[in-house]
Amino acid sequence: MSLKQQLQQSLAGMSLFSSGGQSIVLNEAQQELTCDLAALDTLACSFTRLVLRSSTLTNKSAAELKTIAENLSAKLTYLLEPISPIETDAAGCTVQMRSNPPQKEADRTSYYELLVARAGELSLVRYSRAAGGSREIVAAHVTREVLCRLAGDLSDAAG
Amino acid sequence: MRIEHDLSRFKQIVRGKIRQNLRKYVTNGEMIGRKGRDLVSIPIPQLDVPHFRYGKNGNGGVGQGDGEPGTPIGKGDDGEGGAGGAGSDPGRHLLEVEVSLEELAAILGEELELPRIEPKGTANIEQEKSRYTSIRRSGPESLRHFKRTYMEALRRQISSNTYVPDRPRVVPIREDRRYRAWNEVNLPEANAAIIYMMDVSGSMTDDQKEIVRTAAFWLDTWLRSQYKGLERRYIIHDAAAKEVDEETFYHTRESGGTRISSAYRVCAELINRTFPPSEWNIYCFQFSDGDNWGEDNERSLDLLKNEILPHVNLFCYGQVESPYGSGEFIRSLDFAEDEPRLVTAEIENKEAVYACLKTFLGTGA
Repeated sequence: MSLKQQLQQSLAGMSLFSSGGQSIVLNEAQQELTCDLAALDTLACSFTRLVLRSSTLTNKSAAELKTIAENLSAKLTYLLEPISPIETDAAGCTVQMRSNPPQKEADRTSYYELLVARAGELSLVRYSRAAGGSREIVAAHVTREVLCRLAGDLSDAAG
Repeated sequence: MRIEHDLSRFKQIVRGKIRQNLRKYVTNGEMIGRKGRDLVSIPIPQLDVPHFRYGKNGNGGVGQGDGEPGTPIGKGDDGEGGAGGAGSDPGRHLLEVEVSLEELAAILGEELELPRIEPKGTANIEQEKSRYTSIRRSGPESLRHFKRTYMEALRRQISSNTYVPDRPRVVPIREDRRYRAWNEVNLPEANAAIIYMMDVSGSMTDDQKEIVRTAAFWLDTWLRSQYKGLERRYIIHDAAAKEVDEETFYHTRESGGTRISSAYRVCAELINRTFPPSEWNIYCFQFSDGDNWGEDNERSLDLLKNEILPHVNLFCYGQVESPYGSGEFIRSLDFAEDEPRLVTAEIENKEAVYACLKTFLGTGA
């Protein structure tokens, strides 16, 4: 069963919660998906971190990781903001993708950050920063359907 | 002379206008495009120049016809107003004046209340300079000293009784000619080097680079006014750093990650190789959005503390706010409070350049 289907089943089997947080860890072939949920509702959920680890990423070059990032950029059009590669660290073999442009409010800036790393990880986090403060991880709110689609797209991108 | 007095008054007015609008000039960067070799052309709005007004005579006003003390001055004839309303656009009365960079620096210094820079004691080196301080009997005609030549001619004519006070004609002959001549003098000169470093990684946008360009122009202008021999070097970096020329510095955009330590390493090598700290006053200005890749902070701080700070007069770090506002590097420089040679400033937008200059240059180091 694919990671996407496993996640659908896991969410369906969990009781609803609005505080405390729970983690889901799923495995399929060479991939492992970890989702840190902050809340779960009948229709939607919020997560603080979504990480896909895959051994297939470990031997990729910076150029290959960039191609993966560009493909993801084309696919992930259903989030709050479009995501695109911002920086490529050739030495560390990591591509940093972010919301482009970020969401700007009067006193706050929020954006997704998706790292594609040769260490074998695709990790998606949402950051928010109040004016004059430091950035902090905030929960990203999505419907259950979007979360499962996201898991599927990350899994496909990692190959 | 009257004209000199008027010119001096005019210069005072221009200076006042520039001072009034200095914040605007600093923040909008329009000055940079107007920079010539040593002069900057500045548009001064609404500098009122007195002028004649032409019109019909006999319409009242002062000195028109008979009158008694207390008689009100006439309003003129009533009549229909002309067609059309008042214009909505501002009048175009821009006068362009040329100001030397030195004068501009002086205005900047006065307005920002900047202290004069005190060069490092050991950095004063002797330089041989030519000074026209003596007079000789031969030399090129371009250096002929007319006053001295005529004085010699006058002296000769008086001593030889050929000078007639009623008909005071003084005609110099070849032996009367005097020429300016130079002597070599050793003058102490403080040399200074500015090293600019800019993050050109993918997260630095064109707007941010424009802010850096504006700030660098004013830093340059001020430091040039303080040092005669000013050397400038430019370093750009993303994950790797290199020394580049000025044009490349301002117009390069890379997509690499941010590793500030790479710029510090090139900067430290440059200081070691080219600017021995015992002979040079060294100023470093670094601009970045501060979005350094996590594990690089430690390496960067190590290089900054041990390889750069001990050798420089001043190290200024300007953190230009990125669209993400995610720069954290400035927080790792919190030891700046106890380190007088390290100054940091957050530059949120173009308007903040003015305050940044004050912060950077206000130390007088």
